[in-house]
Amino acid sequence: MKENSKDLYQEIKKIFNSEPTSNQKAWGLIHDFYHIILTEMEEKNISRSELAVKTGKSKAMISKLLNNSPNISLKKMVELADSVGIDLKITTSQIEKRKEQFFIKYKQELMAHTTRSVKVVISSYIEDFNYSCNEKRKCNTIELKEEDSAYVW
Amino acid sequence: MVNLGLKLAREVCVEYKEILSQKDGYRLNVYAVERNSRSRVMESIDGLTQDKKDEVINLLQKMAENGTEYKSPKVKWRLAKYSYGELKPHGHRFFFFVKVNENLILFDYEEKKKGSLKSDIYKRLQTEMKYYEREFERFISGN
Repeated sequence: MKENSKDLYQEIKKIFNSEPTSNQKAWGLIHDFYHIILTEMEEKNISRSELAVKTGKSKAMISKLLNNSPNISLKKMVELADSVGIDLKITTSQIEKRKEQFFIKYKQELMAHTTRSVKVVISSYIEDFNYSCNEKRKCNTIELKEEDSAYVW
Repeated sequence: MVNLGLKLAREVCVEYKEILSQKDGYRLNVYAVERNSRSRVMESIDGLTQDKKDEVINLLQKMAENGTEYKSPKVKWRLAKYSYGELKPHGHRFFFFVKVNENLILFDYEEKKKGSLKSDIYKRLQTEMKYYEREFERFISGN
């Protein structure tokens, strides 16, 4: 135990507020994973017994995985995720950033050709609208009785 | 056991050390109780191996980030029968906390090599918690 509590406090505070180490990031991923699984289980009302049936594992194994499995393997993560209906994927902040940059670039290009794009969108929308109106007219005509014919479009 | 709160009030100087703050974007502030310039919680975190320390630090950060919406098999935001929570990073290590509004107060730590903690300990912690909760409100209001 440290004698100087001020030093200890500063040290602890520094650890909490500094950039995470690789090990802390790894713990973060494990904790995020369990948060996602437990949230999904709660929302979908999935019990641990049901999870055992879905994964084909024993209840004891599920309890072990959910209670005291600090270093859960990627395979077990995917199995658990699948059993609660989650499509687990690995991505990185770099990939996400690249996707975002691509989208921004695409949007800028689209904006540069606004007139043409808008024309295309509008003409296709008009075609769809005309088609659905015609279909609607046909349906209404069929459904309406003779006495209602005055209201046919 | 029951009079522990009163005993603490007379003999102990209690302080609350802020570890994580809403100022840094967290949803909750996290404090560690310091009794007579010693903090069982901080000393216990400090005494962990690097890997366990990283785990506890990350768990506390997640709790501070997400508040009570955060779910983990290692976190019980409120124990049945008691009005405080428990962070159990491993079978035999227990960090106890109470949530007062937007603040999470880590007020004690227990270690048990085997099995679970006895109900006497939980009852004692309930008395302690009430005391720390009351003192915290005084601390926050500046009295």
